[in-house]
Amino acid sequence: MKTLYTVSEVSTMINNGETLLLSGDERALTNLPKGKWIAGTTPYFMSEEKGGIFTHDEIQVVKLPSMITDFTMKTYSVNELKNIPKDYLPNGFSYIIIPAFSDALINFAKDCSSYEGLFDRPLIGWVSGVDLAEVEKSKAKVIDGMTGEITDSKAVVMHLNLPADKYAKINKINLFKQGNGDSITFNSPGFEISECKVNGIDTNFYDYISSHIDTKLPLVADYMGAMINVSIQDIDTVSKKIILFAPVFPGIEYKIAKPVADYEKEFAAELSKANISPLFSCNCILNYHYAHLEGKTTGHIVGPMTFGEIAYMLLNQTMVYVTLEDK
Amino acid sequence: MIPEKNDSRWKEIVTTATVFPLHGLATKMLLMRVRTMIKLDPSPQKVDEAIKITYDFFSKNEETLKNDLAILFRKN
Repeated sequence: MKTLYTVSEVSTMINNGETLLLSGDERALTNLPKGKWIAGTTPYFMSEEKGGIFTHDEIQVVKLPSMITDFTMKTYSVNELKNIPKDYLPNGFSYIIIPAFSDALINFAKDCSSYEGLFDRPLIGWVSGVDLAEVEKSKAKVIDGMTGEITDSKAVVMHLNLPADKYAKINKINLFKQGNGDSITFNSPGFEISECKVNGIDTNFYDYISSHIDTKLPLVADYMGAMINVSIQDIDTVSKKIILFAPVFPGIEYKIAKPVADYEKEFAAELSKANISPLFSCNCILNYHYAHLEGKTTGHIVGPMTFGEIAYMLLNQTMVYVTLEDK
Repeated sequence: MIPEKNDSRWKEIVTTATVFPLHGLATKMLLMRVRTMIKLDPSPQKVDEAIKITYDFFSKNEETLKNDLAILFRKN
């Protein structure tokens, strides 16, 4: 199914009154008319028609089905993020985009699980990004298409309501599992870590990771059978810290992931087991790069390749999706 | 109907180390959150807070979480 469109084609959809979830390069998105759309920036996509693709020109489009007529849209500053669950609609789900490297993302990632009512309705979304060659000079953005507000510091959320006989269900496909190695724990939450405990013994995390860990492999925590990744962003040789794409938390045991031999093949096997047709899905830019997905497909699963995936909480190196189900 | 909030099984659910074969991602994340909260501070106040969070979550999602409710309460 075609998902990538030109600015002109998307403009026509907007002017026809369609409600759209969009992802694209900032230069393309800022040429769209106001309307019923929400967007985040990224030039990396997974498509069915072209496989993994990098493009500044095309916009990826999810058209919401006609059964969804009731929605609200709002941007949230750092101090307002905790109010997101208060705006959940009675029988709906919420779609969130947060700019990469923003204080809003840091706050959300560290505190979201304590927002009152966070898990009461499905919350799905992603972290917007930029061309990796332009990280030093560009900023990730999100856009409220109704108002035209474009921001690099706030989250944007579309709260959608569903007909009474439907509900939204969020799930994920994560090929990474905990390896059989050391148990790693942390005394405090954070993205920038210098100390940890390895098998209960105080250990310098910088030395531990930089000495013998493949940094393409995430730390994996087991949340009651749901594998939750924390990916390694950088080894900071100046501060002697490990910089992470998502925070680690005290009280949770992490292990380095088992390697994934063939991402495309193993993803296809997992997808076949899941047997899903998502309304929306997204996957991680790290999977795109580490698994060399440019030009390859992930079955019929399409969506932006993102700087973080959100299924209630911030996830890394994971494909997340939402499906609409009959009650 | 879900059990009343003062049903002792809620306390077992949030304090046990048992890993239930749950279906819902939200259920797994929420239970992990409240159990970790108690692990870091096992005071009666935190246990009560964990029970309230868990009870409220299931109360608001009883219809869509019936499979997980069946698993949790059949095993307790």
